[in-house]
Amino acid sequence: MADNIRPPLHNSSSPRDKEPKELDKIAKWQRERMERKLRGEYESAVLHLSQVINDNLKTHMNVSAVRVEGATHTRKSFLGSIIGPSLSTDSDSTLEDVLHTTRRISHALKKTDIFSSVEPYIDRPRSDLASPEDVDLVFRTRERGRWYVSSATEVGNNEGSASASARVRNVFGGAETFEANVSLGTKTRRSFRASLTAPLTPSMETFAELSAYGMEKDLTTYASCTEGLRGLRTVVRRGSPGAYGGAHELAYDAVIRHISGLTPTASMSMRESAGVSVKSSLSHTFLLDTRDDKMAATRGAYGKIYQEIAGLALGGDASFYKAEVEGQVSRALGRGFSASLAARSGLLWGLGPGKTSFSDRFQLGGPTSVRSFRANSMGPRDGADSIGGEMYYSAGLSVMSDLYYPKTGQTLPVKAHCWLNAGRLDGIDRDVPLKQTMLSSLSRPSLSAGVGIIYRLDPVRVELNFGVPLACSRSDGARRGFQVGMGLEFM
Amino acid sequence: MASIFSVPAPIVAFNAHFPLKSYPPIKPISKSSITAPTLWVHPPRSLTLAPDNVLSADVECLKWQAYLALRGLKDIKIRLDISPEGSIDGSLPNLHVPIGESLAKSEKLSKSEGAEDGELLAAHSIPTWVDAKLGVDSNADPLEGYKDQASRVESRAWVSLLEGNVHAALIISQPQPSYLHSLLFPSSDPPLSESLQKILSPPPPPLTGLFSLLPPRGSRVNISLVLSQYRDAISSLSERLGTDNWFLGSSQPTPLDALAFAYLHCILHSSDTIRIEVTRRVNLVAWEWRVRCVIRESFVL
Repeated sequence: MADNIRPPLHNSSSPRDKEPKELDKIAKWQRERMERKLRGEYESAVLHLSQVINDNLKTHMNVSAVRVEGATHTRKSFLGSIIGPSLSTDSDSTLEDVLHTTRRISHALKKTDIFSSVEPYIDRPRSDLASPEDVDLVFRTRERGRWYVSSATEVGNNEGSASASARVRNVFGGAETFEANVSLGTKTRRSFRASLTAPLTPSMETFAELSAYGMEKDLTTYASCTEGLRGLRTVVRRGSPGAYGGAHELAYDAVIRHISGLTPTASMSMRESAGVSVKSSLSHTFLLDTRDDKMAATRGAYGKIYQEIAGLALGGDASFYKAEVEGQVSRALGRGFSASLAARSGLLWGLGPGKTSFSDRFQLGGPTSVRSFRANSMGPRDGADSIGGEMYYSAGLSVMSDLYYPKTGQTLPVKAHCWLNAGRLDGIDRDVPLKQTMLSSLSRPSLSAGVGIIYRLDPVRVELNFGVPLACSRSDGARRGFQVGMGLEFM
Repeated sequence: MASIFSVPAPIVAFNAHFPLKSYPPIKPISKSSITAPTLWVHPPRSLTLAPDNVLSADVECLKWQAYLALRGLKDIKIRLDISPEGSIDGSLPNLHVPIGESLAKSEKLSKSEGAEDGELLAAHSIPTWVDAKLGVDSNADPLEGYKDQASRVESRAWVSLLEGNVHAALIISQPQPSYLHSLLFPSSDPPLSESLQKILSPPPPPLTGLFSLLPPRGSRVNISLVLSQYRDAISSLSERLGTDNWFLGSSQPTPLDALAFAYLHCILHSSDTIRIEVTRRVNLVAWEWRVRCVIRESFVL
């Protein structure tokens, strides 16, 4: 048998071997023709529908009823509260008014974040008493999954952690969200947080949040101790940072802080700070973020004002007024270059007779604040411990540039940047006028400069920098050479 | 051991130029230097109730206060604002001494940075410091201050009795924080059951059974037995003291006197359950009062 097989052998592995290719061309042509025809018909239908609607915009029409289908886990009273304000009470309404109402209700339903899809349509009224001009607005909705559970293990940035999260959406049928998170790690050793968020207004602009949290942070790298926090927090939040007027947040925080686990070499200042303290505070945060991109914005600005008052009539061991201001402006310079200027400042003013507590004081330094300094290594220092300060400022100027593949010219996912950082953290001596302390602090800024690359890992930004401190206090933890940074907000 | 990765020499040379300008170090504001030996103790029962406001409410702190006072030291400051978490080993008392009076005496150390902080000593280092301060060597006396060898041996039994039965009765009689309080406010003190496990002999059994699926926790304390043993102990203590100036007939106060004072003082300020056993014994009450006057004169706030 094998003797009958003579080369050359033909390749029969392809099923379309020797099939005429003209058929492909014909099929493609036919497909394109059908698509053109369908597109044309669709466009004609849309044009026709638009024409019909435009011609009848002033036709009298009233909303007889609004029906929301598919909202099985949502309370009727809640739906009524968000639909009610959108309905027009005008008895002389037209089709135009009805369409506007439909859009408003649809927008309000989507804003609750309960539904994955909202499809509105206008239907004949079901009511027997309805007049010929009446219509029903029907919203076909699909609710999002109510339960979400996840777990994660992360290793990086000198920290390893394992976490588990759970979220229940629309808990009581009124767009309430319950979230719980538990994590174990090497630096933040233990943490848990449970929160319940609920809308306060039908416009979905104002939310209230009640949360309980606890965590244990390992601060041995700069303060020879661990800090445990257990607290309750109530927040009323209004607006969004990107909207006109920004976002406002009014919060009440009751937290028990526990400084413990001191290392044998802990300083006297840290030994004096150890133990339990209670903070009861009211705070207000204003946030405005109109940047088009957090990393390399070409327009807009970022601003944050934070104020907190603790103690006095609120109770607790800590009595202080705290204020922090933060701003950032970024602009494109052309040819793939952009510049960013950021500044932060804070003041802590003790209202009680004693010293402010370690937990309330500011810390400064590190790859995400003042580069070329070790994390939280600036300011007042007792032995090996950064005991924190009551007044700080920091500023950063960066020029970033896109990087390209040499051969193809395509943009690389990393950017190069050079930066100049300045900052200082000081304690406030109540016997010296504050103005004098401020001027003294401003006249002696710690400075650093360097170059590096930025990798964008949304929403996290990773930096590898080579920098040197140009000026610093002898107590500052200056770091010459390479430094890796990972975070959400950078100087 | 040399690192696998070494920084190239040009970079090291470049880095050596920085920082170009240095400012003075930023020091903590309102940090005071230590000038006199200061004992860190738990606060007294009342700060306003002079002159007893120098005596700590905690029995462990009071033991060391009595020890220092009965060794003849005067004008020792006490500090009440330090939490146990801030002390060495997480438990008070600690003795904070100026660098000139520290155990590690060295000219170089006294001139080094941070010398104004002095030296902090844990409770177990206090006898060594007192010996150095008084210029005596307690270890040289084989009788440890007791009148004879038999008394020295007997003192061990009394120490064991006070730190066992009497201590257990004292902590049982003290009010325990509520579960919610202990949940919210972390405490450096171990839970009652854990303390009793260490004190009582034999240790009380756990709450859960031997074959229980639950891990062993808590302890099943026979309170009536502890109180019965406590009554016997106080009775014996009273009989042994008799009309002597110091326990076991010593001519000078001994560490046992410091220990006995601490327990008697705390019992006299405790609940009626255990206080009554001491108050009915006049010699113990009178002795406690006499020693209390000696001790409170040695300390200043």
